Amino acid sequence: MPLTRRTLLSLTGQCLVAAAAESVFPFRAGAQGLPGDHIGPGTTTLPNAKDSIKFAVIGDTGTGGREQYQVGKLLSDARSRFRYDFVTMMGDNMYGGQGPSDFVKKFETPYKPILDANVSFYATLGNHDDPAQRFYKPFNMDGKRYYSFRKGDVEFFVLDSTYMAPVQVDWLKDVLPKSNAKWKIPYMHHPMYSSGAKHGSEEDLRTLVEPLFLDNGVDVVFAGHEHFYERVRPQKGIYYFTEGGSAKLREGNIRVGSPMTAKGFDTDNTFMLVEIDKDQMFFETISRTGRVIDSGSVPRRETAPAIKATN
Amino acid sequence: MITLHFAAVARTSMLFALVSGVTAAQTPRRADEGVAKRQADTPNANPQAAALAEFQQRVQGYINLRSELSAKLKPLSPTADSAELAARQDTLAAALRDARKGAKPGDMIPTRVADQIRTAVAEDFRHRNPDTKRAVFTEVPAGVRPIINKAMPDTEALATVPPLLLNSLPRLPDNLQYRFMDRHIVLLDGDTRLIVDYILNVLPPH
Repeated sequence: MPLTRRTLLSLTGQCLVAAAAESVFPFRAGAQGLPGDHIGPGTTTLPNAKDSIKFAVIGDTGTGGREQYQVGKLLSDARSRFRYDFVTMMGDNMYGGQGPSDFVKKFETPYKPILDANVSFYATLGNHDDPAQRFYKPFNMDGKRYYSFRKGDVEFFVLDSTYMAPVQVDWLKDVLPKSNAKWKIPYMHHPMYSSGAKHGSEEDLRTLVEPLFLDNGVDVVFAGHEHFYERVRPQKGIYYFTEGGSAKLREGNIRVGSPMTAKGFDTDNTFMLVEIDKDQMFFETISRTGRVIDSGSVPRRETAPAIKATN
Repeated sequence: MITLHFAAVARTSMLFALVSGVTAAQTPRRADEGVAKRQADTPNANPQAAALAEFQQRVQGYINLRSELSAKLKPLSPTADSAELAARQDTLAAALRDARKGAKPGDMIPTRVADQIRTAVAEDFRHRNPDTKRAVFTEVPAGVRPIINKAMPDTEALATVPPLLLNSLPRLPDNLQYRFMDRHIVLLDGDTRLIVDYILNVLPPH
């Protein structure tokens, strides 16, 4: 078979720079599954600890197409082995029309079993989303383009990266330092770091909000927009994940040899399962065929300021 | 390159922030509105500051109108019924269209402010590297011309306006937004997707 550019890109997407990444994210000893394994009912690489925070991450979902439904089914099935309580949506919740029938076809039907199980969704706006989606109750945005919500020791800061006007930056400057959560996790549609050939990193966004993340003990950031999965090498100590392939897929779009990529997957749709237990965040990324394509854990940075002597 | 760009944007932002700061403080209070009017009437007053004050007053007028109409109708508020949400959005849009029948380009954005926006955009794009320019333009809907009181089609993506550029434009209330449409900048109502005003041919050819 001739080695075409497409084939090469595809192969690269399947086995991107895993070795270096694994030294940063050691796979847990005793895990029941490893990357590449098919996850069957009752098995998971996640600790499934009692009282931990468990959630799923999906992005760029709202196509109403076959892939969205297939990922939706896997997401629902995953609850039998990993009982997550809520789902974070990375934006582009609705492509194309945004009428009432679109809400049914592109959200309510593909995720019906999860919605019926009272799992909450927390959406962010993508560039394809009508800003009025913030009034749609199942998205839990409470009419706000940007907002925060807390689950135990974790506070999520949901940003509208499609329109990062100064008023939103001011809001973030206000709420981030006030949060006493152990884990502060922002998420937004556009990735601040990305190896995507079509879009790439959002440098303006990075200039504006990265200093706030660094100053306020942010450990992990999630985004979408790029229609693939990427785990970026820690940037200034912060871990960045892009999960924008839960329905759309931009095959072979991760730039070959990008030094940013710790792990990339651009050959099939994906979603993530995440568990935060005390000072560790565990994650498992699963493809549309049910294969674990990435997993590992992320430590919380020590952010407590040094105690100053007062005398 | 990025440092240079940021420095240039920061300079522009500081200048506009100084001017906007004056106008923002003037907008909400009636007494200050009087000051702005006197400034505009005085031949020696800073004409740019007066134009910005005028812009802020018009924007506030639009926000007040939307609030009044929204209060008379069913306001946009969280609902689990997507049909209800669409109906409320459509009703508000219809009421705004009716109230602003005959609105024309420049009714919201005075010429001097439009020129300021053009300058800010030109300055911003002059310092952007080809990759970031391309990233901005890939999302911009092409071959469409804005029409006041017409809704931006929900099938079109809302192209992201670069955050550093937003920093250098006159501030807007939260639900009124600058958005790109082809080479044009539109003032978009974030609740109804209605085009409130626009400035033609602001973006460089792409």
